[in-house]
Amino acid sequence: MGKLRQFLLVDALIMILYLGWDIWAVFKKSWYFDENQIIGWQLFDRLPIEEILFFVIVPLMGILTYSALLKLTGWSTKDEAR
Amino acid sequence: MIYSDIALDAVMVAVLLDLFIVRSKMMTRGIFWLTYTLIFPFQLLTNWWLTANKIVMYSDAEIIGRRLAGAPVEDLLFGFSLILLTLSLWEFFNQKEFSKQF
Repeated sequence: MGKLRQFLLVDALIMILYLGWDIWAVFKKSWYFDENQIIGWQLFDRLPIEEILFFVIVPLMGILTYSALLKLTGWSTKDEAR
Repeated sequence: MIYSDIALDAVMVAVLLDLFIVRSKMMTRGIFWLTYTLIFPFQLLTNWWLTANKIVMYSDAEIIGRRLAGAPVEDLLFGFSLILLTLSLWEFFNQKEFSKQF
């Protein structure tokens, strides 16, 4: 599996779960956004595009950080018991 | 269900999936904690920016009220959960046995 495809698969699974929680919280106004500081594109008229992109950017930078550290440290992912 | 519930649920779900369902067991690996240690200060920085500039605001009734770097502590739990499950799934799909099926 290509790395891009692998990322898209992981991110799709992450989004199902975390966007679910996120939509719940945003509709309940657990948190809310300054309308003057967002682009204005909103899903369901409520969820800013920035909030959705958060769940692309954070997993992506997490995986990149992880991959970079694996390479830099030379630590194995397999030597601990599975 | 307030944000505190969501944050705790998210941590429980991620930990259970990582250890028992996905079985990547990222939580038992040094490389995971090293990665999280590097990411953590950047989450604090981002949280501080978003709250200090009032880009994102939180309802008092939805959080326990304790904050770190401007954002509710719930945010740190939710963020930890997101990183843990992302890396757990990534490592799961890295396994050779699975990759061969694609």
